[in-house]
Amino acid sequence: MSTVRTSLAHAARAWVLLAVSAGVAHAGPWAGIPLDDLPKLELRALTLDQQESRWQAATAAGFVRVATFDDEAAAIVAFDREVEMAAAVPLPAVVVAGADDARGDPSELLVLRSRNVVLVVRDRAGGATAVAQRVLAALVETAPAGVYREKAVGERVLEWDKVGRLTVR
Amino acid sequence: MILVALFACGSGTIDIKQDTGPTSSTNPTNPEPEETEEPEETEETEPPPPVAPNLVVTAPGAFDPIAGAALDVLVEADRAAALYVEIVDAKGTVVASADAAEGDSLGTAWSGSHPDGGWAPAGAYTLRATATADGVTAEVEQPVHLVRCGLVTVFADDDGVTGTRVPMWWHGDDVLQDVDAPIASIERMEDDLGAPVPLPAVMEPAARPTAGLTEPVAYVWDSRPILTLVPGDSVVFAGTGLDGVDVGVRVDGWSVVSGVPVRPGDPIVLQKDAAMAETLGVTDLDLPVVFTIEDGGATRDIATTTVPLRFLAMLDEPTFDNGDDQYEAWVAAVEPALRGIDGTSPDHTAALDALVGWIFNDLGLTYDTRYGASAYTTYTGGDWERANFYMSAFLDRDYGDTVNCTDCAGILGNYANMIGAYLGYVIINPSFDLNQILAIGQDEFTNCPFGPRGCGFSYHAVTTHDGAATIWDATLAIDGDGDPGSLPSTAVLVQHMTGEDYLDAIVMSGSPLYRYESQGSMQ
Repeated sequence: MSTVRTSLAHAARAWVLLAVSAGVAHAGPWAGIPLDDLPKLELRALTLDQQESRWQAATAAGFVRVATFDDEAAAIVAFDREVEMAAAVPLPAVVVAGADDARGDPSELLVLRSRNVVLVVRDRAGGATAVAQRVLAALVETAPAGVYREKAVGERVLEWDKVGRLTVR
Repeated sequence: MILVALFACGSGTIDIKQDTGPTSSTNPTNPEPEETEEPEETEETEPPPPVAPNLVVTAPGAFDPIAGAALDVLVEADRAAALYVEIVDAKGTVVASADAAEGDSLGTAWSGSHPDGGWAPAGAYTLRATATADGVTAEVEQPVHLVRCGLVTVFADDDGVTGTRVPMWWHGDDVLQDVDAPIASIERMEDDLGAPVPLPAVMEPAARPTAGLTEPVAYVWDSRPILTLVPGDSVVFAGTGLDGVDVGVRVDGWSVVSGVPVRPGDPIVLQKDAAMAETLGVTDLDLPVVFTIEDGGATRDIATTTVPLRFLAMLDEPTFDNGDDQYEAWVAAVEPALRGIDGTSPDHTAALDALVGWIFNDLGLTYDTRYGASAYTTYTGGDWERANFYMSAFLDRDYGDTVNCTDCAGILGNYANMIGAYLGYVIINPSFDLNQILAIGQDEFTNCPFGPRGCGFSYHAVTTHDGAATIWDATLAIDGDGDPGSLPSTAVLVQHMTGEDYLDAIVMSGSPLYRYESQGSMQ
C-alpha cells in the first residue's frame, strides 16, 4: 500500500507541476461536468443517483461514473473507497494526465480523482484513458445556473443542478 | 327436426335452421303439430268447418346481432300452409318478414338490419307469425328484444379478505397503478358502421403504460380477483334495449356477485371461484363473458364479449424495508421475472431458488472477468451497507451485460423483493483466494476468473434473508463434486446453501466473514 501511495503522490505532484508550469494553477473545487454537454462528450443514458451527488452515463463501450464532493479531502476519502468497491480485484496506481489520483488499468478501467471529483471509467474497447481525459477536460468550476431535474419521492423533493449535484428538500 | 330452406323476404334472411329456442303455439298444451285423423265421409254428415292449422313459433326472447347472432325464427304448422312471419317495431312498422307459399315449416333469421338501411334500434319488437290453410289463418305473436350486450370498462379489485391486488410501479412515469382506475376501457362498443370494438389487448411490460391498452394486474398468488365490468351503451343501435329484458351473465370459473340483470352503466361484479394461481407466474387469458337470457325454462346464450387479461401471481406484496414510492413491484421487472420462474411453488425458498436459476441462466449476463467491476451499483458514501442499485438502467441494459457480484446481488435482491420474497445482501471480506467457480455467462470453471489479474475476490456480495445463515448467489455456480478446489467440476447453483457450506465451497484460502447485511437502495 505504501508503494501505491508513493506512486500516487508522485503522480499528483507531477500533475501539479505540469499544471503550474502551463500557467493553470489549481483553484477551487470543481462544480462538475455540465449535463447538457453529455452528448458532446458522447455520453448517453444518464442515471442521476438519488442518494448522493453522483451520476452515471453510458459510453460507446462502457460507462462513466462521476461523483462530486464538497471538498478535496472528502474526495480523497471517497476515491480510496471507490478503489476498494468498484472492482473485485486490486487496482494498481497509474498516471493519467489531468487526474490527481488514478488507479486501475489505462485501457479498460480507471478510478480517478481530480480535486473534489471522483470518476470511474469502464471501457471494454480499451479506450479508458481517452474517455477519462475527455471527461476530465469537461470539468468546470462554475455550474450553469438552473435545475437540471427534479423528482418527488414521498414527501421529499430531489433536485439535481446542471452538473448533477443532488439537493434533497 | 329437419327443416327446409325457404327464401328471403324483406330485410330478413333465410337459411336452414335447427332451432332450440322457446316456442309459441296456437295450442300451447299441444305444441307439436300432430296428424289428425281423416273423418269418414258420409252423405248424411255436414263437412266439418275448416280448422286453423296448429302453429308453433320458435325464437329466442332476445338477441344481440353484433356480439351474438341474428334472430333465428322457426315457424312450423301441422300441415301444409301458407306461412308468414314478420318482425314489427313499436310503431307497427314491419322491419323484417319472410314467407313460404306452401309448406309446413319456415326457417328464417333477422340480422337486426332496418329496411331503411343501417341497424334497427335496440328495444322491444313483436314477432308475428301466421299459417293459412283451407282459408283459415292461425296467428301467433311473441315479444322479441334486440339488445346490445357489451363492456366498455374493466376494473380489477380486491376485497382485502379473499385477495390482495398489488399495485405495480410504472418507473418511467414514477407512478403507481391506481387500483381504483380502470385497467381497460373503450369509448364505445361499435364503430360507426356497427362493427364491434373489442376491449384492448394487454400492454407489454415497459417503463410506462401504453395508452389505449389493458394494464396487467398483479395479485398475491392465492387471491380470488374481483373484476368489475361496466356494460356500455350503443350509439349505433340507439341504446342497448336491455331495460326491457332480463339479461344475465355467465363466466366459467367466476361467480357473479352483483350487476344482473344487466343494465347499461351498472357494473357487473365477478369474483374468481378459486385462487388465481397455484404457482407463481403469469397468466394470459381472454376471459369470455357470456350474456344470457332465461328463455322457455332454459338459459340461452345471446352474446359473448372477450376480456383480455394478464394476471401476475406474486408470492406476496413487495418486501422492501424502504418505504419510498419506488420500492414497489415494477411492471417492467416483475412481469419478466414471474415469466422466468413461471410454475414455481409459492414458497419463499422456491421463489429465490428459481430467481437464481433464471438470472444465472437466462438473462444473458456475463461476469466481468477483467476486473469484477460493477456496472449498475454504487456504494453510497463508500458504505458497504448502502449499495444503490440502478434498476431502471439495468432493465434497459444501459451499461451493458457485463456485471459483477454487487450487480448480481442487486438484481436478485430487487427482483425478489418486488415479487414478495424478502431478501437482502451481505458482503464477504476481506479478500480470499478462490476454489473452482463458474462465473455467470462463462463456459468453464476456474479459480482465477481474472486471469493474470487475480485468483481471488477482494470482496464478494451475495444475498441472504437471515443473517447469512442461508445464501443465494446468482453471480456464480460452485463446484459441487465434493472437491471444490480442483477440476473437473460439477456446477451447482447457489440456491439456499448454508452460509458455512457456501464459504467452504468458494474459499480456497483466506478467512473472510459475512458482514454488512442490508437491502441497500434501488432506483
